[in-house]
Amino acid sequence: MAGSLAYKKACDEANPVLLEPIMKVTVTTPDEYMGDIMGDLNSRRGRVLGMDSAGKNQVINAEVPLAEVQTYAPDLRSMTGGRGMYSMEFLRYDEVPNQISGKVIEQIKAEQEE
Amino acid sequence: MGHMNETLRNVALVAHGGAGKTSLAEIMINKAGMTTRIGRVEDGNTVMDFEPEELKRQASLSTGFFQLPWKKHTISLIDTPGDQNFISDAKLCMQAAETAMIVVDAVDGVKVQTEQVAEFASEYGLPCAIFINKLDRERADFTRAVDDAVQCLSPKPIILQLPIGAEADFNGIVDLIGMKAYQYDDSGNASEIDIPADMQDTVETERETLIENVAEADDALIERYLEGETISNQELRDTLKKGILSRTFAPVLCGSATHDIGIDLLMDFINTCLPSPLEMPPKQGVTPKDEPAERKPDPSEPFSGFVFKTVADPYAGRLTILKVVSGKLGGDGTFYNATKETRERYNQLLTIAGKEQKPATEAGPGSIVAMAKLKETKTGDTLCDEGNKILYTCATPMPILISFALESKATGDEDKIYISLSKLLEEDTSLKLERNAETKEILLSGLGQVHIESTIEKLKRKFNVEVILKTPKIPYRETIKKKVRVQGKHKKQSGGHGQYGDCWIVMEPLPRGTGFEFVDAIVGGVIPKQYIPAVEKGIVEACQKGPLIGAPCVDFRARWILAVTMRSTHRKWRSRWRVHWPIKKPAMKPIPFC
Repeated sequence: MAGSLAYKKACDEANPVLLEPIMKVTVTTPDEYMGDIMGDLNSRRGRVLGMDSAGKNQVINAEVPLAEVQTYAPDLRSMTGGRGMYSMEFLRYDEVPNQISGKVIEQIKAEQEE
Repeated sequence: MGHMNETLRNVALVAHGGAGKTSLAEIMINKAGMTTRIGRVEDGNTVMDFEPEELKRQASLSTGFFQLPWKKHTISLIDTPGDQNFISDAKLCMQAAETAMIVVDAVDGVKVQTEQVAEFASEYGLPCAIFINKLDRERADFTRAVDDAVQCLSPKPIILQLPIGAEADFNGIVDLIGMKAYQYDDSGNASEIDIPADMQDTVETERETLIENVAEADDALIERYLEGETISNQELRDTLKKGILSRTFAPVLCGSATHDIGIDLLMDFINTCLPSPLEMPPKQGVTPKDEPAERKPDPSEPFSGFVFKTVADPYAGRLTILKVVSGKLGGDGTFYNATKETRERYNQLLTIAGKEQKPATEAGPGSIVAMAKLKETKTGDTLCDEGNKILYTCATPMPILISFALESKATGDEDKIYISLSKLLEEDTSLKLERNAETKEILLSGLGQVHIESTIEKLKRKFNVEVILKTPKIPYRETIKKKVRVQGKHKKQSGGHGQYGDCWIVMEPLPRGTGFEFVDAIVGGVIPKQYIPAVEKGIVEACQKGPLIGAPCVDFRARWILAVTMRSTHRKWRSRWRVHWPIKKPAMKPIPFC
C-alpha cells in the first residue's frame, strides 16, 4: 500500500531518535565520599552541575538519566556507609546517545517478542 | 490520665536499628509489672514488636506504643523503628513525644540513622536524653560512645552517670548528682554501695564537669558557682530539667537493657528530669484564614490535636492514632477535622499497649490516644474544636527513593493489588502507589528495598495477594530530528463503496518538551470542517506508538498541507468527500514512522 511505502520512507528520512527521562539528582554526603560519588555519577552518564556545602555535608547537584539511577538508593548507601542521602525528580527528556540507543532498542525489542 | 497529665512522660526511643530500643522498652514494661516475662527480640516474644514481619527480621518496622506506671507517673513509650527503610515512621511518630531518648550502642557508637533522628528531634525542638546501652557486651566502651555522641549529636551530651566495670564485669552505676553508687545482681535488683575506690578521682572530676555544664542553663546559678558556692542537689536537678527542656544539653545515662542494669535509674530520671506535656511551650499553628495561632498544653484551652499514625488493626479495623495538644477529649464524641474541613464522630477513645487497645474515658494535653473506624481522618490531619479552628503543620514523610514494578502472580489480580495496597498505604505514608500510563506498570515506591519487600510480605499475609517485584521499565519516548514531507494514500476498490484518498503531511521537529502540535494548513477550505478533528485524533492516537520501540512520539509538528479525494466515475465508487476515511487513515500511517 502507498501508506506503508510512505512511512518507510519517512522513517529513514525523519531521523527518529530515542528520548529518555533525565532526572535532577541531589546528593547530600559527608566530604570524604565526594570523590567516589562524583566518579560514580560520571560513570552513570551523569553531569555534575555544581556543589554546595551545607553544614558538615556537601550537596552535589547532577543530571542523570533515569535508566542509570533506578537502584541508586542501595548503591549510594553502600558507597557512603549509609551517610549519603539523595533526592531525585524528573527534569526533562533528552536524546539517548547513539551508542547506547542501539542496545536499548535491541533489548526492548527482544522483550517485546517474548 | 486526663488531668493527671502532669505525671505523663511521652518518651520516644530513637536510634539506629539494633541499638536496643525495643529491648529497652521491654525491660521497662517488665519492671513496671506489666508483663510477667521480659520480652526478648531474639526470642520473638516482644510486646512492642508483634507483626510476623518484625519478628522475622528481629527489628521494628513500625512504631510501638505502651503506657506503663512507674512511681506514680505514667511513662508512655514510643518505640520507633531504627532501620533506614522505616525511618519515615520514626519521623512522624517522634512528633508525639515530649522527649527523644536517643539510645546509643556502646559497641557500635552513633550510626547515621541516629544522627538523622537526632536531626528530626532538633527540627521539632524536642528535648533529648541519651542512654548508652549494651555496656555489658564485649568491646563495649563507655568513653568512646560518649565521645562519639559529643561529635555527632546535638544538643551537647553531658555525663550524668558512670558505669562500674566494663564489658562482662559491668555491674553497677555511679549517679553523679546523688553521688551514689548502685550495684546490680543478676535479676536486676540494685543495692547501694560505696563508690569504688579506684573510681573516686574520675567521679570527682566528672561531677565538677557536670556541675559546670548544668550551670550553663542558668545564669544566676553559674555566677554563684563561679563564686565558689556549693549548689544543692535539688537545685542541680531543677536546673538540669530546665536545660533539657531548652535543649541546652542532653544528659547521658548508661546501662544494659538485656541485663537490667540502670533501668530503674533511667525510669526515675524520666519521671523527675524529663518534661511533662504541660511544661512544653505552646504549639504554633494557623487559623483557617492563615493567621498565626497557638495552643498552650492546657486542659482548659479549646481542644486540638493531630493525627500522626494510622494502623490497620486486624480486629479493631482502622485505628487512627492522635496526640492531644490542648484541651480535652471525652470517651466518645465529635471533633472537627480542620484539614479535611469535616466533622467526624468517634465512638470509643482507646489507649494503645503493644498490640492491644484499652478503652479510655478521657484524654488531656499530651495524651496519645486512638480512635477506631474513622472514615475521613488520615495521618497528618489536624483535629480541633469546631468553634476554635486551628491547623498545625505536620511533618512530611521522607521522600521516596526507590521504585519497583509490581506484577501479579495470578492474572486478573490487578484490581486486588490496588485495593489491598491502598489499605497498606494508609498505614505507611512513605509509600507511593501509581500506575505509569506509558509503561503500563504498577509502581510501588518507598524508602528502600526492604521497605518494599516487607510491604509485599504484608500484602500476602493480610490480603493473600501475591506479586512479583521487578525493576521498572524506563518510560522512553521517541521523536524526529529532521523535517520531512510524506504522502499517505488510501485506496479501496473491492466491495462496497470505493474510496480513494491522498494527503500530504509535513512533519518537523519541535523543541524538547513542547509535545505534539497539529496544524491544518490546507488552503481554501476544501475539507469540510467536521473532519479536521477526526484527522487530528487519528494522528494523536497513532503517535502513541513510535517507530523505534513503540514508545510515544513527541516534540514534533504535523502540518496537513494537501488533501485530495476523488469521486470515481465508476458506479460503485460513489463516496464523495468521505474525508474521514480516506484522509484519516493515511494520516495515521506515516506518523508512527515519522
